[in-house]
Amino acid sequence: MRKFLIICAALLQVFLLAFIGGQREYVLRTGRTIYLRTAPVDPRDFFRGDYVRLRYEISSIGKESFRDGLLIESKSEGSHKYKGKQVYVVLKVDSNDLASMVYVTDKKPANGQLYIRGRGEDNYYSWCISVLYGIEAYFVEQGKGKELEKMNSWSSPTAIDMKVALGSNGIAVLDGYRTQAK
Amino acid sequence: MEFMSSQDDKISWLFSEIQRWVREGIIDSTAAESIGRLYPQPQSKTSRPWALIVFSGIGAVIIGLGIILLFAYNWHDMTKFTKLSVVFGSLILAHFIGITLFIRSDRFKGIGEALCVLGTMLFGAGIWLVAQIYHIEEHFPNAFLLWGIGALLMAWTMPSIIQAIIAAVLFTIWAATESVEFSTAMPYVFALLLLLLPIVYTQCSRILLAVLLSAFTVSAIFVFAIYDRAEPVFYCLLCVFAIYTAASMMQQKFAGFEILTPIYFFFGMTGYFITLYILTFPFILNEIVEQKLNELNIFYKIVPLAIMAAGWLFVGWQVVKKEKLKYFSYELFLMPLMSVFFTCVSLGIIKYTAYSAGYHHDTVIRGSSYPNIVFNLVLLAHAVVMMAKGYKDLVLSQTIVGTLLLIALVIARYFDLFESLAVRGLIFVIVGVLIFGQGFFYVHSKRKKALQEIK
Repeated sequence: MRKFLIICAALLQVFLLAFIGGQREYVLRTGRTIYLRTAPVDPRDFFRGDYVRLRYEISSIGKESFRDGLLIESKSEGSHKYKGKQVYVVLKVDSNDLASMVYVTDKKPANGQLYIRGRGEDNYYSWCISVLYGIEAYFVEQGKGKELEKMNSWSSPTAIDMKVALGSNGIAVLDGYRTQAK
Repeated sequence: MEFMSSQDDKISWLFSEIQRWVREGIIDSTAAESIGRLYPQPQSKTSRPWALIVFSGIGAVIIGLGIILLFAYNWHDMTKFTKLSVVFGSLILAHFIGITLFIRSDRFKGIGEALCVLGTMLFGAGIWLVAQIYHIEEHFPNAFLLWGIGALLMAWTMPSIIQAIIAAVLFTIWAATESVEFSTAMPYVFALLLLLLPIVYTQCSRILLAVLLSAFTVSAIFVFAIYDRAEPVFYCLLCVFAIYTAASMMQQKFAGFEILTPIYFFFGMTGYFITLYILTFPFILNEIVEQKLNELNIFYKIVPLAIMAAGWLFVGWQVVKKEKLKYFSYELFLMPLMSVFFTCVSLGIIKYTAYSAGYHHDTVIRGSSYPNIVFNLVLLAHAVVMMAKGYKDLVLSQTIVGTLLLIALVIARYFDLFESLAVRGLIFVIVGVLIFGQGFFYVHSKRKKALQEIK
């Protein structure tokens, strides 16, 4: 019995790891690919090495784009009401596959709509909501982050669009990037 | 377990000596049997090879950390599937060989356990690597939680002390990062750490208990520090250390676990004296009470106090029943009383005059408030009682701790209590004479007792 339990515990470690990776791999293989425009910086993570910190145009969303419960909440008092709240940003895609926001809601959009799932974070400005999508870091080989940063600096003529695979439930997985003229 | 095996060693040695005495005609076989009946039969040698487990366990942890850093380099030439194959392959291999050796025989149990520890470290490395491969920027403390749960499961099923230690450390890091990075209190960490407590008892491990009590204390500090206030932290620490000390008394009522008693007592008393000493400083107490948390939160205020009260009611009940408790002395009841007293101060039931002590508008205001005097007197009482008891029972360690407490208190008050240098000097002379006299009387009393024993 003990042997069986030990094997189960070890297998659970393997399955947990496989689930984390497998869920993302599934989205990469089956999800719709879009591009999101960014503005990176370059920190380092002790466990995962160098990465480019990413912020998207849809990372801060103004109140005028709020729908449903968010619209009602925006009229109430309090500064931390959006922290941890799950939100869905409905997107439209142009001919170049570059996505932009249509509106943000706290209700899961209907099937067929293209949307990305995120969570609200601490925000001190009452006119907008800050959203994290879990794709705010792009991990690169040690020392390569600076190159990417230069390519996307304010003075650079190019902008970086992150290639994002979107799952049917709004989960987003980074799959590379492209550079575009600003 | 470690203690038990050393007891077994002593008994085994005694039995081999008895056989030698019989062989050499010093005693006859009847006398040998009579002596043998006084002691339990020595158990067969099946204890685990601790040196191997400890060294290979530490080695496995360091290898795991090395692998994390190695992958953190994020080689561009390695494809995603190569990286994933390395992680999953090494994780499965480490666990497969580890579990096989662990189950097969006692001889390879230590190596098997160490390989499973390596497996758990690789599991942690795998979490970070998968996050790196798929550029996952989720809530990063969750990785520590997940990793800790993996270690906890292995610790439970094997059972393994090293896996349990890893789990305790990871859960503490989880609670600390949630508190520091995201200002989120994670009281669930206490439930997770409590899940490791049965392993302490099934394995009778003092090392794991020491790690667990440290993890519990550190987690409590981070959980209670969530409001950026010092008052809840000190409130909880007083309760936590009183709970540890009560546990050291309760512990003795369960046969077989007496060896864990000193660990609970050491952590309880050390933490309590340090906390109490900090509270004797007028300006620190002033800061703490000024940072009072006004909201009465059930979890933060009631739960620690209720657990502490239950523990000490049990101790009180044992005292009323005249049960003999090792380490118990009546002045220890000051511990729960101090927790209740601090609660009354923090709730405003006992009035604290904010500017009666400490610094105010760059002016040093001397003198102490009523609560501050209480903390000083209680610490002084502990010091004096320990010195007196150490002298009476001829326990040097107690005398030394009491003396150190007194010296620490006198040095602290030298700077903030007496303005007149003459008074300061006089106090130092009095305390010095007391300590000098105590040393003299201790030696004198020891000689006297030795002479009585000879007579």
